[in-house]
Amino acid sequence: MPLIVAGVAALVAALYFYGTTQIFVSPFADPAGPRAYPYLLVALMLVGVVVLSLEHLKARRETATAPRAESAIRWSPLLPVSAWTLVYILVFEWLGYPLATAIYLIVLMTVFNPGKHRTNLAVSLSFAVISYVLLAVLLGAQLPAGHVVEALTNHFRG
Amino acid sequence: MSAIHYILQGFETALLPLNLLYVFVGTLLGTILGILPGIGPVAGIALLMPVTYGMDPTSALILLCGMYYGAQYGGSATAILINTPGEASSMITCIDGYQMARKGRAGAALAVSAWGSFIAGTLSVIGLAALATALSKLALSFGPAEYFGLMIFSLAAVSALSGKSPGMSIIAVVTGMMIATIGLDSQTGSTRFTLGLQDLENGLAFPIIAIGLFALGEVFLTLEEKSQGKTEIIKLSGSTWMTREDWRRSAGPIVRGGVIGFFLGVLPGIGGVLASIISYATEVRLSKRPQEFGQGAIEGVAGPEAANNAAASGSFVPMLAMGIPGSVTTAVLLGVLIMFGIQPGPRMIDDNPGLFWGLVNSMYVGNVMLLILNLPLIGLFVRILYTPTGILMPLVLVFSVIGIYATDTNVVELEFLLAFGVLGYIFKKIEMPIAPLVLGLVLGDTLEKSFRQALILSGGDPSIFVKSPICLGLLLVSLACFLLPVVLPLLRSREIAESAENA
Repeated sequence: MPLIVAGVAALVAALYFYGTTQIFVSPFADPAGPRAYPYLLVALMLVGVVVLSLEHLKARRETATAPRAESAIRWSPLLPVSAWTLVYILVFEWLGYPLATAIYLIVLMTVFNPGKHRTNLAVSLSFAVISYVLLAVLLGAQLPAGHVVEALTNHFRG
Repeated sequence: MSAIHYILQGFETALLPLNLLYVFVGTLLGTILGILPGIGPVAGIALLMPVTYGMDPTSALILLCGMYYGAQYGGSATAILINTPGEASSMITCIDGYQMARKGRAGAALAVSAWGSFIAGTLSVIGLAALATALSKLALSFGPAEYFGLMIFSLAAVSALSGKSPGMSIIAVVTGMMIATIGLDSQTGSTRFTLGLQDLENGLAFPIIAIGLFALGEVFLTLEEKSQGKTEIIKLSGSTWMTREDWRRSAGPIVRGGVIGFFLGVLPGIGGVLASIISYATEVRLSKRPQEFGQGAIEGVAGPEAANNAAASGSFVPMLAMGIPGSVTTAVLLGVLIMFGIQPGPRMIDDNPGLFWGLVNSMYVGNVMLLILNLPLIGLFVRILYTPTGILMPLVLVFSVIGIYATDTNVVELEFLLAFGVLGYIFKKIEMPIAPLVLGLVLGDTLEKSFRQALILSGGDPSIFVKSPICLGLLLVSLACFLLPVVLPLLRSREIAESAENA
């Protein structure tokens, strides 16, 4: 893992260095200008990469005698939850807060609180509706009603 | 104006009905969030940050600080009742607190935790008021180069002490500093690292990063851990009043823990963890019954809890006096100050006496409020522990989304929020400390300003950073913070190898 982190950090440093070269420097800028500090950060990041690599070498020598357990990233819950959250974010304005939130919560609770469908349904629906009424209607927070609700409202208004 | 006048003025601010309400709400929400599995004080503060938009900065800080002490107490309650510390600094409380609970003395353990926190918290607030004003006067003599050195030292100290690997810490802190450079350059107006996105021209809003890294990251982790077994929750038993014997055994540890905690809390990066460990070790050494430690000794809860709370107040000293956060929580609070347009630093106490003294005195009020709230209501609060995480965590995700969206109604910000949530999870899994990243992010802009101001003063000559003895000293200590943990073991292993060869 440390070598992967060092590799990613080196890549970030390289991209950041490229980004720094693209910064426009005004002839009236201060002596350091907008590029000096970012260049310093690139150098510091490379120091971090070197230090981490040295640590890895040291650890590899030690683990030859005593293997060390590492906690692995488990993509199984992270990927579906973050993907489902991304879907929620993308449809948030279109579906509207109450509807999108209710669907989002029902699915998550069904997966992570299994076997309690009535509770999950009740919590999801009541949370979506109560929080919308409380925050958007009473407190004036800007939460989207959604195109679906707007279309329905317009339809009934005729 | 005299100090007494300011203190009275501070009480006037802290005791305003609205601010009293904020202290109450803050401590109440903090205790609840501290008890909730997976949500610590930092995540709680991050989640509450969007609520403070539009509030008076003093009231906002009073609310968030109230939440901080509340969450600390909540974290101690979980340490005692389910052997799971709400945050790292409550780790030591688990040792004897959980044993006390198993022996039917959970009530006494929770009571000594509340009283210990109250007494040490009150003592350290006095220390905070005295030391912060003195330090800010000293820091006023610092120029941009010295200030640059001081910030580098703070970053180095916190980073070197907050993770197991100095390399990981350097990468984390620089990542934070790099994120801070996104947006318009404040001195020339050039756009930097915006990838052509208009949404990035003003940089990334601090709450997006804080809520993403702390709240979402923690939710992802908790949902993952949810499937890995259940924890035994001990029913609250025994009176929440301490007996005379309990008081006799706890008074000394509370005072000692308070003093140890406060002074260690002032030092950047040391914080509550080391303070509670040292306090525990001190009590074991001083006790006439050292064999009772680990079996449910009340001193083992009183000392570390007092130290933990005093360290929290101590960490406010460098933040309020010099604008240098000594812990991740104060870094987040500093981010809130910057969000409100208040420039932290030595001038803050003089420029905003109302904020400083109002905040300090609200801490007294907060400690009283915590005691009044927690002792009778703890039985009610611990019922929260029975809330299924499968219901709670999705709700936290929605709260995070509401907080960010309601501020700017920008879906792109929600995408950034999710990205930082994933980053927060990955950081936790690969054991890369988040504290240095947040510190780099919060101090990044001020650090660059000091760096460039120093170069303007010297006409572009970088030797200004080594010509000032204070700056040079701070830079050398900073370098040592990172290099010593790497270089010393390497040298030692080489020595061992050489001596083995010679033998």
